Amino acid sequence: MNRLPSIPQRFFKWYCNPRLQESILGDLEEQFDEDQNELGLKKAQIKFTWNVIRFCRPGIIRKPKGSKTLNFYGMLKHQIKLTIRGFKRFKTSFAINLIGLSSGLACALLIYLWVMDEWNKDKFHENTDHLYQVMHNINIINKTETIQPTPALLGQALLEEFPAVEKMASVVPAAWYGSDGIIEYGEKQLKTLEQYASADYFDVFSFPLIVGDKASVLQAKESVVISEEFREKLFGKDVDPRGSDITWYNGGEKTTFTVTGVFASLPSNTSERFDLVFTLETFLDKYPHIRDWRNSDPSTFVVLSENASVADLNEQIKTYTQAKHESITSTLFLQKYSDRYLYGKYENGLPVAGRVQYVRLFSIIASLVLFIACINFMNLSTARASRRLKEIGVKKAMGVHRSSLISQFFIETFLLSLISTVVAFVLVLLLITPFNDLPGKTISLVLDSQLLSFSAIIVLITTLVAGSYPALYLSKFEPISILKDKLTGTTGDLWARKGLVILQYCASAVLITSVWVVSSQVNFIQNKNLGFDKERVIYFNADGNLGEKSQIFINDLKKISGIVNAAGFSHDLLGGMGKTTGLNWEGKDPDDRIRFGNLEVGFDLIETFGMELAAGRTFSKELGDNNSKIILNEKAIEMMGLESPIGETIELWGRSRQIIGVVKNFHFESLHSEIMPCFFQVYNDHSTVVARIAKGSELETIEKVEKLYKKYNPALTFNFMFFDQEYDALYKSEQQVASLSTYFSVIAIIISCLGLFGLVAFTAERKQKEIGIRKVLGASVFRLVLLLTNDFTKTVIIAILISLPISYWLMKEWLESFVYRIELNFWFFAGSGLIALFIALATMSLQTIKAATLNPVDSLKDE
Amino acid sequence: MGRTSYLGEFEELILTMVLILEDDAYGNTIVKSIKEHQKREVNLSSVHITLYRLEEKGYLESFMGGATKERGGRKKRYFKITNAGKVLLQEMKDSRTSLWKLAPQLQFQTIK
Repeated sequence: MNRLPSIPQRFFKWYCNPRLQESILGDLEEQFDEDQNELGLKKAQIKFTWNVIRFCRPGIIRKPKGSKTLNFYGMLKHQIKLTIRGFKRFKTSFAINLIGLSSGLACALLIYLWVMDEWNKDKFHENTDHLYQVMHNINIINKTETIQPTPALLGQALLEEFPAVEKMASVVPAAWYGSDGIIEYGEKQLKTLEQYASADYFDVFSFPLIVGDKASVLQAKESVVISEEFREKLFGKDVDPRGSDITWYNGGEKTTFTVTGVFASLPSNTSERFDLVFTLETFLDKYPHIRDWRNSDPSTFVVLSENASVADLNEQIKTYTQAKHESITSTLFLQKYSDRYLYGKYENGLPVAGRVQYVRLFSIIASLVLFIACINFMNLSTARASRRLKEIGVKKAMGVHRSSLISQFFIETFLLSLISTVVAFVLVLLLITPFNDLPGKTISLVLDSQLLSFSAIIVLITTLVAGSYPALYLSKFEPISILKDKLTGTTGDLWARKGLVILQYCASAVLITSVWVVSSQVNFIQNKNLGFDKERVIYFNADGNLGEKSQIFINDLKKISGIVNAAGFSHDLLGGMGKTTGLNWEGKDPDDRIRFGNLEVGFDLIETFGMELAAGRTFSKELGDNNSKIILNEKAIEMMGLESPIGETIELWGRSRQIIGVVKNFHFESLHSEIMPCFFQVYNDHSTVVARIAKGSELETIEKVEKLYKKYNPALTFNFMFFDQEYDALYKSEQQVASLSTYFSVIAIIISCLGLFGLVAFTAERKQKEIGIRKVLGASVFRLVLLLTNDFTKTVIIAILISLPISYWLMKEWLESFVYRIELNFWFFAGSGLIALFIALATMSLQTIKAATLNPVDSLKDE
Repeated sequence: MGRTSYLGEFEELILTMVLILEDDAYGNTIVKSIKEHQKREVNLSSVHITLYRLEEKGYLESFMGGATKERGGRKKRYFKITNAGKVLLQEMKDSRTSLWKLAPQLQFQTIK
């Protein structure tokens, strides 16, 4: 008898009209018995459940009973009508609430879009759940640095030795090797951004191929897979380019490759950028020394099997490379590929943070702003309670239950947040273009189910948070005390309202301080003396014919009138440089593994960048300097512990070099990291040309440089970059944070002010008679203003005092991520406190002065 | 002529089935006989809904009865066609026949 599934049966009994219940359930059970004989118990039960669901329709469902439910729709209609009338009648508070809530919601929505965009980066790959990158921890004197390059042999070895590794890809972004090459097909030439990858690359990463088979495109050594855009430019749209030969010019070399496939344009949610993929073999043949366990270059990616334990594998591969060669001390670990975008910062060999900090920061700001907006709503509704007390009292006296009063207030809040959400969507549509103009982001408002459910959740939360206090508070009054007018604001109620103002202003003051500190730090970085002059320096690739004739080109370049100086360079000062431990000197501790930055420069580079010398001289062509000479920076000398470095001989990669100069410390890479030791070597051929332009002649000079460039490379476009712009780009995320937090803080402050404005307006209105009488008796406007604002001023001051330690702690944490940072001085906090106070006073005075200057006749004439 | 209410195809089918089944018309038998005579699978819930609708319109009446052991001791709700129902079915049948009389002789084309 109990074979009938009990939950559906109970569900059925719950919804079914009792009149029909017995016969239908009987029919159902009869059918169930037959089904059980024919199909078995399981299927019969499923069928029974399905039938129960099918029966759940009008005609079968029990009718609502009792007067309460009958009244439900009527009450709902009544409450909505009252709400709308309320909106119409109290236009100011409706406007304040609407503006506040909708801008708060717009903030939350924008930040949600931004956060989602960040969150979905690199997560579209089919293998994403099992795709890991092997990260490399290397030790440099008591410090562990985590880098991407791993031994080229690693991937294959892991695949062969560990059954948990199902697929692997070794990838070298060729940009690591300096110059981007040029592709030639027939008459057409294109600059490229290429990478080298092992055979299974397109199987490991889901970059779909339009032409070609992902298993075979990178099999033959001379294969190349090109992007959709490249195909269009070189071969034309929809052409099958397979089998065509293209020529690649790179660093004076010329190689021919056969196109084997075309990959679709890279999606916007990938952090990878490349136009061409060559085979890893090509790379290894070009740099044979990489085929050695001691050298690291390619990044290694592995796809693990479904049930593989990452922890176990991590343990197994940790010292894997050390077994391959006795001199290796570095360790390996696996990091999920999709985590790398957000967790790209490492400490002691483990991922700690990265962009995820900003994601968190903005989520916090969004919730704060929304919270402030909710507080406004609570504040205004409780403050205006007196206006509704009569309504509540009459209703209660007529027998209205408390629960329906609560529902009425919630419906009010819900309607308001619904309207605000619509307004917020319009605001987001308007704001999205300027938002995208801020550095580094393109988001779009697409109404998908995710966004809609997010909005629904936000509306519900807003309703609950903003509506709960008025709903619970206003509904609890005793009708007798209301109607007898005995209710004149309890102290508890006053405190609650003040508490809310404190919270609000506390959050605003924290935001003001943060904006101030963040923008000062960003400013500090941009204007810090770097040890060289980054203004008016341009640089461009020595591509095409420039590669072979760079010496002649640079000589020609120097002859241009607006050029102050020019030189070749193989690195940049933006962090893209080789690092080596292969430096030996007398007295070096053999265990020392200091990594030096290696800057391969042309003659005059040090002069072009305007770096200052601490001792010795720079490279000189006249004296015939070559790579037997070396120049170091002060930091290097200090770390090496050399007393009188000039003239000393040290050893680099087994060859002796004589120190001819010491450069004063200068900042390369971003100010997040400390100045590192580095050395300069002089070479003739370089991938980049750097030139300094005389002040005031930038435009004409660049035109002349372009003309000269065209003489060497008629087919190529002249792409140059300003060094200072590229340098500033190192702080893109900080700038982004600075500008975004400014916007959001302004919004938060406006919302807080709206709230305060509403409260003061309300107080002024209630005290209208008092003000009138005081005025008649001779009180001055100033005294009256003081009377009205006194309470709130105190509240705001308390809020500011509370905010101080919070903002101090927050800002200290944030500044920790910079090695070179501003000091947190007293004025950041005092200043923002004063600003918050001033804004509050200004807001209040708008309303109070109006109230205090009102003619007392107007306020006292009736009654 | 001048019928005031009309039946849908499914309603007519159910009404006819109740007529056919005479004393044994309730949910399950109707489903079964539709399957038997019409080769058509119908869901129990739609049959029930239609039965109640027809009852409301006055073409059917129902009574409880026949508690048997196999249904967990639950009574069946039997349906019986009312006079109004019989008249309606008759009218529908007549009107159809009179329309058919107006139609030309059915001639199927032979396939050459």
